[in-house]
Amino acid sequence: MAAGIEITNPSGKLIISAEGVGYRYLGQPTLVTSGSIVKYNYTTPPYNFWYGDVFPYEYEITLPNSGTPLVGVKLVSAALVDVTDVWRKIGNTWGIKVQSIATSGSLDSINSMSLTAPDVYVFCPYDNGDNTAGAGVQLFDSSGNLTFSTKHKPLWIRQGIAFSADVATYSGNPSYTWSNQTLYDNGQSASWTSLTFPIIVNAGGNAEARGIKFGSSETIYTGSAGFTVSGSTMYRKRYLFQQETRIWETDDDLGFTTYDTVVLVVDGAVL
Amino acid sequence: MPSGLQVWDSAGTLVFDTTSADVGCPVEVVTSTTSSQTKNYTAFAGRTALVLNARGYGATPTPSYGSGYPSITFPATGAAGDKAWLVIMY
Repeated sequence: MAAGIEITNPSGKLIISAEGVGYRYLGQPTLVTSGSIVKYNYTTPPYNFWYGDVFPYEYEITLPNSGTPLVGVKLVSAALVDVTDVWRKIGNTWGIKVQSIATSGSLDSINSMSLTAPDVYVFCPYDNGDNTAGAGVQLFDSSGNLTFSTKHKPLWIRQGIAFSADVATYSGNPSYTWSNQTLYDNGQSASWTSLTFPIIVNAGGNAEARGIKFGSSETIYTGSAGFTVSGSTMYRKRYLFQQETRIWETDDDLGFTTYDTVVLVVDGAVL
Repeated sequence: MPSGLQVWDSAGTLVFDTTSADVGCPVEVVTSTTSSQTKNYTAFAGRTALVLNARGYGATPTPSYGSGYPSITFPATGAAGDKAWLVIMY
């Protein structure tokens, strides 16, 4: 940078720059609609199975400025969480949707899935309204925009946990073969440094799971992926959010595609 | 402290410490548009850019450094604002 202040960590990574658009903690959003599972039992002989939809928890929050929020979700072992949508509703008010499936039940059988409410946290960009006189530190960019202030709790990113792109497929009739079934069954895992109150930002699962009926392009089920944790291992696992009125049979096809992503870990204990 | 910046709140809780931050500086969230857009981060010459998928599925854009600073081309999307990328420098 030509002027201003940069602050790095001991490894030389840039952590604060006057030219960055810094983010700070805003608060927890308001719950608009709880998540739900709407399921039906298909009982026409010879079939007997369940189908339906898993709907996410929906929240909203109003930012103090026209910036874009960053959404964080508390990472817990009891739930698989996936931020599925963040959108501007009107003005500076944003909507947030989060799937939160209890890990005590099934992640892909709609009749035995259950939900558990997530803890959601929102960060927003600094703006000049956050300027405060008398104490602390404020940084401004070359245009006079506030980019960091000790008035608020800054977005303190402790770790970035990478999950790679990968693909699992099951080809039904006529081959009946798996490619990468481990990914489909167990998801992906990554080591992380455990925190007592981890919040993950950029927590969209970035994955797609599908089941396709043999001999057609008809979707049987649709899924995505979410994040959970156990000890020093973080997981990205598949979950179901829509089961059509079809049951999967061995002739059918399955697929699970994950995309590159990095999950940011923030210490929620200080918020 | 050895170096950097620490911030405590009024209750005495350490709420920010650059020495234990391991991911770089959030620069901006780029919201998608219906035509592709290239952004040149000239203020971050010599730094490396990390692009995260802040909203929406699919691959993330890959930064280039041909001019000595990060340059990122964000793809066109079907509807403006349906995706967003978080740009971090380190």
